[in-house]
Amino acid sequence: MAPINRIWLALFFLGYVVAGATGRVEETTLALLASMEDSVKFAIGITGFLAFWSGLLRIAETAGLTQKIARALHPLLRRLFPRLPADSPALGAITLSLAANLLGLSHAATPLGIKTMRELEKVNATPGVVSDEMAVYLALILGGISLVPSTIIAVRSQAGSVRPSMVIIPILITASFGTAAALLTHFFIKKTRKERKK
Amino acid sequence: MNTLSIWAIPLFILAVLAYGEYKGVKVYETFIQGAGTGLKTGFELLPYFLAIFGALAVFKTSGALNFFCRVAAPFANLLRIPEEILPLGLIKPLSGSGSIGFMADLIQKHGPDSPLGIMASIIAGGSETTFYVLSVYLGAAKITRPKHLVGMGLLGDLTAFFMAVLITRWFQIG
Repeated sequence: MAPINRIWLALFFLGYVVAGATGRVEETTLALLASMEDSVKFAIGITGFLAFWSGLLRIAETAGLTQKIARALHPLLRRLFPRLPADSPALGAITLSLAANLLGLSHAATPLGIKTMRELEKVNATPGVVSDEMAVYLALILGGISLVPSTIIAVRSQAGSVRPSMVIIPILITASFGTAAALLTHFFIKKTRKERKK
Repeated sequence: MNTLSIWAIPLFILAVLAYGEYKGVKVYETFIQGAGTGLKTGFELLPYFLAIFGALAVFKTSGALNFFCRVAAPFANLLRIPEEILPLGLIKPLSGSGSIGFMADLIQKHGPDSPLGIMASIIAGGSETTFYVLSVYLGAAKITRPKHLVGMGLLGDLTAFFMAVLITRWFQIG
C-alpha cells in the first residue's frame, strides 16, 4: 500500500533534517549503521521459535486439525451467513479459511482467503461490488483472532521477557472486541442503507 | 488470566502432538519438514526489521521522535494513553511486519514485561493488517467498489487499539 512508502521516506528525511538542525548527524548515522546489525541478530533470534512452531503446525495440518476446527466453526458461521446454503462451496471455503487463521497457519491462510473471495464472487448478485457475505467474512478476517500469536511471542522472548506468553489471552480479548466492532459497523451501515431506500 | 496464558503454549504443543499421534501422523518426521520451511519465515521478516529499525534509528537518535512525542503528548494525555505508543497505532493498519518491527523496537527500549511493552505486544497481535488484507482479498475477487470496508476495518483497528490500552491498565499487567 502507498501510505507506508511515504511514512518510511518521511522518517528518514524528518530525522536527518532534525539531526542537521541539532548537530546530531554523526550520531544518527552511527545509530543507523548499528540498527543493521541489530536487525539481523533479531531476525535470527526469533527464527528458532518460528521454525519450531511451523514444525508443530505441520503436524496439526497433517493430522487434519484444520478440518476439525472448520467443522466446529460451521454451526456458528451458518448463522452469520444465512443466505449461503449449508453445503455450498462458498461456506466451505469460509470455514476452512477461518480455521487456518485461527490456528495461525500464515502460509495457508492467504491462498485459502483468495479462494474464499473467488467463491463468494461467484455467488455475488452484484459482481464487482462488495456483497454482504464478503463484508462479514472480511470483518472476521480483519479482526485477526488467532489461538497463539506465535510471532509476538517469539519477539517478546527474544527481547528477554520472563513471561512471553502472558499476552495470549489479552490479545484474544482485544481481537474479539475489534472483530465485534467491525461486524457491528457492517450491520449498522447495512441497516441504515436499507432504511434510506424505503 | 495469567495462568491461562502461561498454559496456552504447553497445552497447544501437547494437544497437537497427541492428536497427531492419534491420527497416525509420523510426528517427528513431519515436525522436521515443517520446521525446515518455517526457517524461511524468520528470514522473510529480516528486510522488514532492516527497514523499520533503520528508519526508527534515524528518527529517534536525531531527536525527531522526541519532538513528535512532545507534539502528540497533549492529545495522548487527553485520551490517557502513553504518547510513545501512538506511532505503533498509526502503522498497525498499514503494515503487519512493519508493526512487528515497531513493537520490537519499543519493547527493547522499555522492556517486554513493562506496561508499555505489554501494550505494544497486544496492539501488534490484536488485529490484522487492514490495508494489506483488503488490497489482496478484494483484488483476488476483482472487487472495484469496496463500499464501507476500509472504514469498517479501521474502526476495528481503533477498537482493538483502545482495548489494548484499557486491558493493560485494568489488569495492571507488567
